[in-house]
Amino acid sequence: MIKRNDILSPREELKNFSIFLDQNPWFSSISVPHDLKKILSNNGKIGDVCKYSLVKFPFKNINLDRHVRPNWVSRLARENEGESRVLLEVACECNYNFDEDNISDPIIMLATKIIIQFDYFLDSNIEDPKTLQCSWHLDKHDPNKGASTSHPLYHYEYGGTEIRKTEGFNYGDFILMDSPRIMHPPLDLVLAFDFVIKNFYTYETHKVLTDDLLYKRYIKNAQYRLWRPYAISFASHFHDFNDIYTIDRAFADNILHCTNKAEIY
Amino acid sequence: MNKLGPFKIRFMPEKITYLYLDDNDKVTRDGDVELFNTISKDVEIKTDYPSSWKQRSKSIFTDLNHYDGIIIDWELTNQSQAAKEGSHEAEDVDFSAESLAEHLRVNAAKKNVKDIPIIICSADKNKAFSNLKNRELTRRDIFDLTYIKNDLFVKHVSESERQLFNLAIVYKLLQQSAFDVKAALDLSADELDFLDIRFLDTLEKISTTNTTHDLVYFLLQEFLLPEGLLINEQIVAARLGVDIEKSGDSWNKIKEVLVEEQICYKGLLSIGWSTYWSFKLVKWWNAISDKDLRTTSASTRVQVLNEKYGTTLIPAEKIKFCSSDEFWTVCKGTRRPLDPINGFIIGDYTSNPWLEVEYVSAYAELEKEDPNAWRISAIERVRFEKFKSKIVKND
Amino acid sequence: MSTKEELLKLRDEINQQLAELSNDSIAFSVDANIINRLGKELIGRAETGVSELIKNTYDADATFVSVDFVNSNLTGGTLIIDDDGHGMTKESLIKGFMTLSSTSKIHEPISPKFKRQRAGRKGIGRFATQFLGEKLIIITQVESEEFATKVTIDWNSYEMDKELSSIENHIEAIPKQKIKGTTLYIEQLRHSWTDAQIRRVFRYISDLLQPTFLSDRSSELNIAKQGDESFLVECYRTENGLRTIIADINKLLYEKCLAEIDGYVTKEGDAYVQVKSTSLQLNDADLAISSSKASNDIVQPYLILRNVNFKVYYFIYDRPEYYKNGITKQELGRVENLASEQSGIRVYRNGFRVLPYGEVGDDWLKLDRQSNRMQFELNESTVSFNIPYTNKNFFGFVELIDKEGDLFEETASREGLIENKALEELRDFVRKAVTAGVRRIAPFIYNEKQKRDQKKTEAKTLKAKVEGLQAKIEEFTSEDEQGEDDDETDFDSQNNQKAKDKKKEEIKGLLSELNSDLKVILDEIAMLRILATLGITIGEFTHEIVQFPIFFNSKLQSLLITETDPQKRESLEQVVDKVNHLDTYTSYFNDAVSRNSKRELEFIELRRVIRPFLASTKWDFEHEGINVEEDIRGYDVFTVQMHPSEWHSILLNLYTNSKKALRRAKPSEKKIKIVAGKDDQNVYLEFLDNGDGIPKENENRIFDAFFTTSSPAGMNASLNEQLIGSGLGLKILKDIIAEYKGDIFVASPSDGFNTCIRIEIPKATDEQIRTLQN
Repeated sequence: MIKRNDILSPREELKNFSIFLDQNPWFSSISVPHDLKKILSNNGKIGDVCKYSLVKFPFKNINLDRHVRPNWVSRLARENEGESRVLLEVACECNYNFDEDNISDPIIMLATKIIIQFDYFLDSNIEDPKTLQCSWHLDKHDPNKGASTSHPLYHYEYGGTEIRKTEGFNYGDFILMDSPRIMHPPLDLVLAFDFVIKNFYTYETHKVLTDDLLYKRYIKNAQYRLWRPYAISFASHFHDFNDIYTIDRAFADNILHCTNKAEIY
Repeated sequence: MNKLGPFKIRFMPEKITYLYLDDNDKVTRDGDVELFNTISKDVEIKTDYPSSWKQRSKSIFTDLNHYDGIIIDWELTNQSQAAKEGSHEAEDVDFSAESLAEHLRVNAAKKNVKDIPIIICSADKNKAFSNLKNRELTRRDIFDLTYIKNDLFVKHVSESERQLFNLAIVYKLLQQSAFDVKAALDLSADELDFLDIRFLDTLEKISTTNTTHDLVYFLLQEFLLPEGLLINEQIVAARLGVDIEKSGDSWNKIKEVLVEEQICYKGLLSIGWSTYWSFKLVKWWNAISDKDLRTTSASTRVQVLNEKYGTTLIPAEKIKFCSSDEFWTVCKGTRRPLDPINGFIIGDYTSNPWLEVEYVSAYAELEKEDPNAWRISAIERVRFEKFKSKIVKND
Repeated sequence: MSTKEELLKLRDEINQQLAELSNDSIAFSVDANIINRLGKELIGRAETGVSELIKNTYDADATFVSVDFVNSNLTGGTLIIDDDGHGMTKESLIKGFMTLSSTSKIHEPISPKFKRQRAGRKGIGRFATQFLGEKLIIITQVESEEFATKVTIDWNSYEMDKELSSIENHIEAIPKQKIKGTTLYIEQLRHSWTDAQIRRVFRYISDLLQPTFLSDRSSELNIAKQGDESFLVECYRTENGLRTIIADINKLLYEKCLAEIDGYVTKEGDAYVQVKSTSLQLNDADLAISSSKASNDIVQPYLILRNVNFKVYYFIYDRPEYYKNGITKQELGRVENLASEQSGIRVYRNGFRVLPYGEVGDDWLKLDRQSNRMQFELNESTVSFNIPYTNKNFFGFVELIDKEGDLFEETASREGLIENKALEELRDFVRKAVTAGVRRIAPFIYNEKQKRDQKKTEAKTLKAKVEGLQAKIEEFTSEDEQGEDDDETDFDSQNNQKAKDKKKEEIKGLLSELNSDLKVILDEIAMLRILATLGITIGEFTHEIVQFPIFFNSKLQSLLITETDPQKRESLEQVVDKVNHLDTYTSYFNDAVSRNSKRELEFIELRRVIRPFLASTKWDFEHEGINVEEDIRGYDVFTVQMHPSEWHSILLNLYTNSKKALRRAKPSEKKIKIVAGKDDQNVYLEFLDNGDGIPKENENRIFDAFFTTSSPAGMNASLNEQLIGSGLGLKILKDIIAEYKGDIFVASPSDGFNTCIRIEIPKATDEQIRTLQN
């Protein structure tokens, strides 16, 4: 039971994190830390609720080649055929419960979107490049809204709806469907950044940032704030924590499976 | 007067007067400003020979009792007899515009003389003057504005008239009354919340501790002119996805809407420079559409506006080599709408947090005529070279 | 003793006794040595000998003759001449071959089968064999008989002090070797035969017969022609059993001549000449040749000369660039080598060659003696010019059609024609005609030479000349020092003196060349100084001038605002318009001046000079009604380091020229196009317009100092008028571009344009461009 007293409010953490990133030259080369500053333009007024919305935040110079590729595939997007990037969108409203024994969902609203874009030159028409994209959403399900299928409170889903139709694009083997929702711990801005950096850049390039002790601390803090309540609530289904923590049952139940509100007690 | 908005000033002169110091002869000087004086109802420019430093540095204190601003020709080198005719002492000009300006500022800070707008102009478009304009060579806050003479007195005379007028008025206001941020920005207390707190902080600090010319400089250079809290017409059009030229009258209609919806900035210096609140633009958009403005294509944006207002706006086209039409800014080179993801950062990126980073399109960079017009930041250089090699390869 | 021997002995005795008995009559006896004399002394050369034998085969209606030199590298070889003519019966052999000075040919001047004119008239051809070898074997057969006749003659047995008819030659009948024809085996050749000698023989043989390409007329008259169907001669060498053919490849070269001069004299004695040349694009009508020496225009026909044709192929060596027919340097060199043995204008009579006319060393037309200087009219001025036309430059064939031998007669030795009036007139005609032909060509050659000379003088820059002079002087002085050797012989010192004198001459020559160069340069500098002063003046006043449009505009527009009278308004508006026009020029000057003040070298991206130029001259284009298009291909079109202001000069200069061209041409739509781009080595810029174009002959000259097609300014013209069209503009450009090791030249314009001037400048390396942008 590790208690942390040094974690600041989400707003403070975010502010410090963005200052830190601004000062890191590698991060400046892959993104626009200046734009980060804008989302912290106002001091919080209502308690410790931190609300921000990051839209179309770019991660440039990504490395697409690192994943496994079957050797019968000849055409995968390659660096020299166009420009690729990741756009991150994070809309988040969260607070922080300084009482560590009181486990509840710190997040009021969360919608994280990771969009991968690839601009390519169709038929060497470089003047008018086309954009291909796919995206992953990590959302907090809103229990007030009904759902045709039930799904976890925090889920990850693959969004195919934003692929623009391009001439010559082969839809043949591509399954367009309402994709399944996979349980995943929530990602706020800090954790989403970390996710993108670690998945879309090689270790060799990002270690200059990610090996920094300060960076690690920010990530750890964010994990503590968001994932600790999540993990404990989740674990509470399989272990009795009643004498240690006070767990918000609604939260714990919804983690696994979100049903109509009426059924929650 | 309506155009001053909510401001009230104790003492309003009948006319704003500027003193124009130029080493040409009287006929030329007066001829140069004649058009300006003819078209302006609020401003009058009176000309004089600069004379010697000994003379002018002293007389300027009393001069400014009669003037609300000063315009100085940058090249004070003429020693012709004709020029000297009619001036009190026919002495050679032996000082530079910068030294006089400095002199005035220093004394204004000491409260020996009132703080006034100082405009500098030059007939020549040569490089040294351009550098001055870009404030690379001289101290930042000596001059309020730098102008090419032809633009100041002829080509853009209506605009310059408004600007000279506005500057003079603002200088007066700021020296007469206490600074109130809400009045200055023409925003309600609630609306102030939407502004970056650091901006408000800095604004307050300067308004209380610094001189008027520092404040005016800040307002002009760190608030009004750059893209940030305020945006100009071109950026508004880019964010609305509109091609101004092709939309013609429809665009004028939208501008009227923007006025009605009070998206225009009406605070200090808004008479001379027409800008819009970026936060208000987004708010207004969110009221008329559920789509997120930033992530909507230009054609969709235009469609929404056309449906709502019955206009026939034409969506802006992408710059060559750009992939996205979710425009948000303009390319510094072509002045055309640009999505930042297609742009390359120029200049330094340590500007104030409430200002936007500036971008240039790949196309503008490749077709660049003046190598010094802008500079892609070092950190984006590699990305640009990669992009360029892709273009060159596929050309 | 055999019957024959007995009879012979008896004959001798009877003769002797008869001789002793008759002492009041005496008959000639012939010493056997006459054979030697007839053979050795009448046949001048081996070629002649072989040619007579060939003529005999021709007369025998042969279609194919092979001439084979066997093992003849050293003396003692064998020459085999084999033909498929009608051959000889034993009788005709005895009557014809074995009877000296036989009359058969006189009796039968036309060959039975092909109706050929008898070629070998004098009938001593048989003795040519004696000249060539010590032994002769003849094997001959006719179609109608079943056997061949073989005669063996040993010329050695024909010695002095023996009666000719007493010498016996073996004759026998042998099986037929072929259907018909004769084979001569000339054994124990008295000479050794090298390849070159054999080739000469062969050429001589080939040349004996008039080339086919001479005249159609001769075919009508059935005069000998060299054609596969009538008479083919092939020459071989057999060495150790290996037979190789000696080929002749020369004919084809004739077709690649610089010009072809054809002349003829009709049967009325009227003489004409014509020049044809693909290289010089000549194909004009016939020129009349007058027999008289009078220089008046009346053309006199020849009194005696009739039915003459000639064709001469003319070559100028060492100048493959004059030829537009694709002759290579090597081919021209080969022709020149050939010329050392085969050039000259030859004479053919009735189909066969008449020696020695046209042989190397023979100058029957007296071409070598005369001066090569020709005068002709060019561009309304008389030009005097040296053009080569000696025997060496001609490969010519004169055809005399003289069946009955009325006009011409060959001398006994077959070396030449008898000097008569006809020959005199022939000489006159051919000479005049050839000269007229060359005179026709001379102007074209002159132009080519001018072009060449220009290139030459340009190529040799001043710097190179000075260095050359320096080198020569050093050589001279060092040799001078060396030359003071004590053990120098008289002969050596004479040679050295000669060499020294030669060097002195060379140095003097170079100095005088440099002197004249210097003069041109000084003239140029003087002009440049004037232009520079003008430039400085402009620069000084530009700063002042720039102020004025502001004043004008401010005043005028104020007046416009307050003026209500429409007429006055219109007046004012016109003035405003003109002031704006003036302003474009003053800003232009201002830009130019500030630009020119930059002294440092920069890597120039062409966009950055072309676009500002177009922007600042826009008003002028519009004023002139010119539509200007720009096509810049690709990016990073960087030149090596240059002065940026020089590009402005370049573009302005080209624009000025185009403007003038467009004014002259007045096309319905005036167009200018600027194309720029880069290739592997260079960055290029093309300036095109659809003006009046540049005539081909001026293409190089436009870049010369003081060349101008603008009309010269009148006497009272202002300095300004004199300077515009000073002719220095393009020269200055060329100098600027040469400094950067670039090139400027007239290129072929693309569709829709008439002039294209192309500039190439070495491009900056990728490395340099990279460092630029960081």
